[in-house]
Amino acid sequence: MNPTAENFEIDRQKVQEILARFTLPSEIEKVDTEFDLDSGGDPAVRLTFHVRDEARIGQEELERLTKFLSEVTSALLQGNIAGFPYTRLEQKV
Amino acid sequence: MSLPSDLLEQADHLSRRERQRPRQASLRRSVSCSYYAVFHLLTAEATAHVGPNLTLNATQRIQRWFDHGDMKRVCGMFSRPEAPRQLSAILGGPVSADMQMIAQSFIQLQEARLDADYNLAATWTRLTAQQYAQVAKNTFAAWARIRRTHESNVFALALLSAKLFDKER
Repeated sequence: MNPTAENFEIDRQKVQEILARFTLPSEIEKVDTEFDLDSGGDPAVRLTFHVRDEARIGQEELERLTKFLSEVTSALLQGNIAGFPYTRLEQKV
Repeated sequence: MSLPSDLLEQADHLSRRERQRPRQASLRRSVSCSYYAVFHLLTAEATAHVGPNLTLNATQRIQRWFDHGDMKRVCGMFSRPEAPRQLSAILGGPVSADMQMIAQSFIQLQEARLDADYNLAATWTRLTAQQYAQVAKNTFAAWARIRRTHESNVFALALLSAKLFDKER
């Protein structure tokens, strides 16, 4: 296992542990995680929070979901993961 | 309105421009605007912090000295409560929650902007563009809360001269 792959595996475990501490907002259907390098060549953890197709996202929901992602980002950084956590919301509609 | 505020408004507008089937171009430009709103906010404020009596001409020239990569590196130092030792010695305490949020958002938005401008394989959703516009808005609000603090002065200095914080002195 090369050092990068090893770091990815350590991060994968930490990310799962930290995410498990959160209760997902009802609008979130699932979370995808991807471990790679960012545009600067630094380790990255990309977390995509998939919002249910039928969920109506107005300003209030957007503010709440953005705040939730910010809390997840802080928790991951405080959990000393090697990669920077890039979080994004996606909704097909 | 200032350029950063105008860009912030434009980011929001572009994310909602088409009522149905948003154009990829609108969403991509929205994400780019969100990043540049925060970039110009921070470079303008950092320059004003470091040189409060500079002429407008000098201010505008100095704002071009900021390097995107260096700013990302500095934001990495401010993105967790425990700053690297060479920085915490100057800060005198942990990084505040608002400062962490600003630093994290800058890194997020920079990566998103590069993706929006250059990764043609990616498909953007309206919600993602709206999320980044909201992140930029939250960053403006967080900066307004801490802009007159010791911490924001240290951040400004670091943004302009990242190399000063590369080693302990």
